[in-house]
Amino acid sequence: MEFVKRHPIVALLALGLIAVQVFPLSFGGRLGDGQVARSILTLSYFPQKLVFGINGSLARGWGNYINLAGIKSENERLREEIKELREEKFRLWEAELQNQRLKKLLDYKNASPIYSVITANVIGASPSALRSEVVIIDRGTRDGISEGMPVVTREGIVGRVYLAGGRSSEVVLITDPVSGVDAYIHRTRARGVIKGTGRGRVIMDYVENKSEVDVGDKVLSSGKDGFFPKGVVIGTVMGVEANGSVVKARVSPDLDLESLEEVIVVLKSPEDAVISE
Amino acid sequence: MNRALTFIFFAALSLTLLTIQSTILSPRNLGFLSPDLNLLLVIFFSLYSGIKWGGAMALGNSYMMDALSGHITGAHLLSRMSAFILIQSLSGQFFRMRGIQAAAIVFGTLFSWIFFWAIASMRTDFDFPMSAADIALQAVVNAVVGVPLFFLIEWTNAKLQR
Repeated sequence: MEFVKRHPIVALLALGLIAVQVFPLSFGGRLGDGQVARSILTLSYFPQKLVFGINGSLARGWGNYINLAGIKSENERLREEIKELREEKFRLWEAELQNQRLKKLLDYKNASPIYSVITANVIGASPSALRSEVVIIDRGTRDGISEGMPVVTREGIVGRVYLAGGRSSEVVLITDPVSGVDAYIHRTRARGVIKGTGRGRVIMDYVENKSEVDVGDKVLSSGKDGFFPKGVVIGTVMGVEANGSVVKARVSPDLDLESLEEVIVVLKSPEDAVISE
Repeated sequence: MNRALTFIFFAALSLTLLTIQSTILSPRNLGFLSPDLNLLLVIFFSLYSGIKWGGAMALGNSYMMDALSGHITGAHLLSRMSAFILIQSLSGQFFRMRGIQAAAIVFGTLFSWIFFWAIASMRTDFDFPMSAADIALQAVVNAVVGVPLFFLIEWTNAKLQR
């Protein structure tokens, strides 16, 4: 320490030299097994959850106050809606019975979901402007979550678990520059790779034929990358440009990743994914 | 001065600032208008603590930043320790003077980001997320938030020590 105090320039040069060696490795992946990082994630869980709770209470309180004004007319409208829904329920019940009879006839087996899922709240985000495409969820290894598991919502793909602590986990969003998802164009089945470019944007790269992708096409996950299940919506093509012999498409995620509140973690290990799909 | 109390105070402060920066003042929500409270704490340590004690606290805080921001173990740690050493070496000459804290904060913020930029520019697959204007904006935001924050930290620590 005395050396650092006496020779700060030498110390700075040494740190710079270490950084040159370390950064190329660590932008793409964490150094070491991350056990200390996991402990820090767990340590920060409690205050983050507290802030999340307070924020939620304040938002609910404000929402209740705003809603109070129109509650009477809303009540009457809902009563009418319930009446209509009861009638519809009866019709659906009739249809369900008929459906069951027909299924029995066809020896149809109910399709069971392939993977278990667990819901989680987004309680925090990366504190760094250098890498802001990371969110923190309130579920961890205690809930069966492990690193690499895909995270989605009903509207589409969110990202994947990068670090799983005991009670919370870090999720790298698909918009992060290190993220990659094997995907295809729904209309033409043309394959490509969805890559994050930061600041909420993604591109679909390595599409082989320009005629196979057009503005407005839906992009879905192919399941071939070993992380994400097949057929989950990613977004819509907003623009196409030729990039040498391949095509690069600008894709707008269907899901609003800027205002994530709740997500679904698919409890699927990356290892068995490719085999099963 | 009660060293144990000081350690507990700064460890708790470090965790509190990290929580605030990863929830309500996250750069994800506020972009570059979000003050970097943890960098401010490192600058505070470099101005008002010894190299051993302040260095250890700054190291711990920077590692926590790395751990919570995904992937880049070493990025914050190295850039912030470099800023810490530089400001610490300059603090004896002029940064300790009253009214010049803002200059130390601006200098520390600029140095920290230029350090990132210099290293990131060696890679072709990493887009540096900030422009020169963004960095300048964050330096100003940090200075505006940092000066009262330093006063608050000093005041609270002094109260605790009594």
